[in-house]
Amino acid sequence: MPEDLVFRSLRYPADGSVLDSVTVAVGSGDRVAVFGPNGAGKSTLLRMMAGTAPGSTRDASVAYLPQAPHLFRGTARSNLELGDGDSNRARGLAEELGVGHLLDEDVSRLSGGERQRVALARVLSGSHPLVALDEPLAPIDLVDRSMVVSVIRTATSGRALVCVTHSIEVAAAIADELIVLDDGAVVQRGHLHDVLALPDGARASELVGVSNVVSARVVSRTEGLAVADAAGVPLIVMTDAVVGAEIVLRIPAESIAVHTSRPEDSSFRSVVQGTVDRILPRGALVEVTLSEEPGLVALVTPGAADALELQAGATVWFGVKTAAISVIVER
Amino acid sequence: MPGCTAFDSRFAGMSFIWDVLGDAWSYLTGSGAQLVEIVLLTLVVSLSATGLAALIGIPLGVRLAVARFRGRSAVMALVNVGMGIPPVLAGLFVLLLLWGEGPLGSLDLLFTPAAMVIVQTLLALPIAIGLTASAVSGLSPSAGEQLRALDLPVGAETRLLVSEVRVGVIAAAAAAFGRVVSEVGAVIIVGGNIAGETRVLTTAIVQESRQARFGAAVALGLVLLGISLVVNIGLTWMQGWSANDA
Repeated sequence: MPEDLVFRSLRYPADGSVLDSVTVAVGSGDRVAVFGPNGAGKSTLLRMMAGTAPGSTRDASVAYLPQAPHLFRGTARSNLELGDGDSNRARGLAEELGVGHLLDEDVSRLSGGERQRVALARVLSGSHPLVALDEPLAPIDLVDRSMVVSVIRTATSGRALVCVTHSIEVAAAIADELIVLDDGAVVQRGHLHDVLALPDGARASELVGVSNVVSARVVSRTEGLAVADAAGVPLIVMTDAVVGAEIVLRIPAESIAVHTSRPEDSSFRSVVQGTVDRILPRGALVEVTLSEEPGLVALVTPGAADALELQAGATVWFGVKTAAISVIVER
Repeated sequence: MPGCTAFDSRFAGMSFIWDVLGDAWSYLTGSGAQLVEIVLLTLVVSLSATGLAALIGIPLGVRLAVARFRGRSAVMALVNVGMGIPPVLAGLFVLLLLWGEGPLGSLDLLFTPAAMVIVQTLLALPIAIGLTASAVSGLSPSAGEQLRALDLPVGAETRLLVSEVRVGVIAAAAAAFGRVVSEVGAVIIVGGNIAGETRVLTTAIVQESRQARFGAAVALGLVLLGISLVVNIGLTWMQGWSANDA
């Protein structure tokens, strides 16, 4: 992948107290999420890239959606026509984002989510090589998020996308690569799956959480739910993916319950039987890994590990609630 | 009795005021064409000056608020001083410019309405610039960030901002008009208060007062007050209309 745009050693302010020498390189087709807690310097990084931070010059190759996009007096339509986007395309995107019927409405009568969609339609409508979005999904209702994500992904295909978020779920939904930012510096960067599956060091684990990232294939489905085969383990997943689709799932390790007998509790839709490969301390918790593929990992409290008398070689059952499994990639 | 004298003189004082008001009424109803001429010239001069100052000052005010350049705070300070400059000083400055041997003497504008428009434009300009700049500076930081994100050409950005702060811009125009329609020092110096040519309401009031024609002075004052009232009601109505409107 050619690195088309390189933002070298971004630092703000001069002493680097907010952002300290962060380099971002993106090529066309790259989708990068910048993830981190509040105050990590994510928005500053984006503003430095777009060139709207004090003392920087505007980079015309970047379409930039600020964290609190402002709509100017007038109608949604007059706002779509601002800037160097394609206003026909902007109207089409507004339609796709579900605000097509509000174009002649005065912006003062739009809700926060509707304003965000108008601003998004405008930003996505250009042909800038890089689209930089700051918390694009924050004001969007949960039920509409996957639709908005798919509009963002489609509208930026073939271009570079950098998206700031403090939600790992949003990062996983929107991007293929992850930059974990903390206290103005990069903690870890890499392919989304790799970072989610193997957070590098204590701070990254704390921020990203320990997750199982597993590839699976949809083998059957009923309405809304699918059974996905992950290296021989059947998992029940909420997805619209068709039979035969290859999907990548994320299961947070702390959402898996560990049992020493098959759980009778029917709220676990997926139950995986396996042998404990190893038990390792992970921060204040204990990490339990199965030896069978796909090598699922669960996090339990030390008290629970003692009570269950967990040890390597023991037979255990992992209980996973369907709602805890998210589909991060679907092909 | 001293008490009676004071009462009598107070009574006499009141009857003087009533007499003046009576004369004012006679002036208003009897002076016809002369009064109309003064009112029209006042409106033409002050509205032209306000319009010119708005046309130049509003875009300049927007740029002053958003542009970052060396010497910006010096320009700001200059504008603030200009907002309070005594009209007689502005009048003196323009008088020297337009005087026969002065730099613009050849234009032969002294003691004409054009000279009055020039000096009043100078007085109104800092108000138009300063109040527009302050309205734009009052926009939210997110509006500023969005504006930098949009990266519009200067003309389009200026138009967008004028529309965004139109309530403040109308207030700037109202303040500018208020300043010029009520000042006398500048127009009397460069206009000369020539009857039928450069006499406006304020200079006419000065003239009538000095000749102790108080009825006429009060009548002209009431007309001036009326004009201010009508113009400001109009502008306030426009503000309300644009605040509710898009």
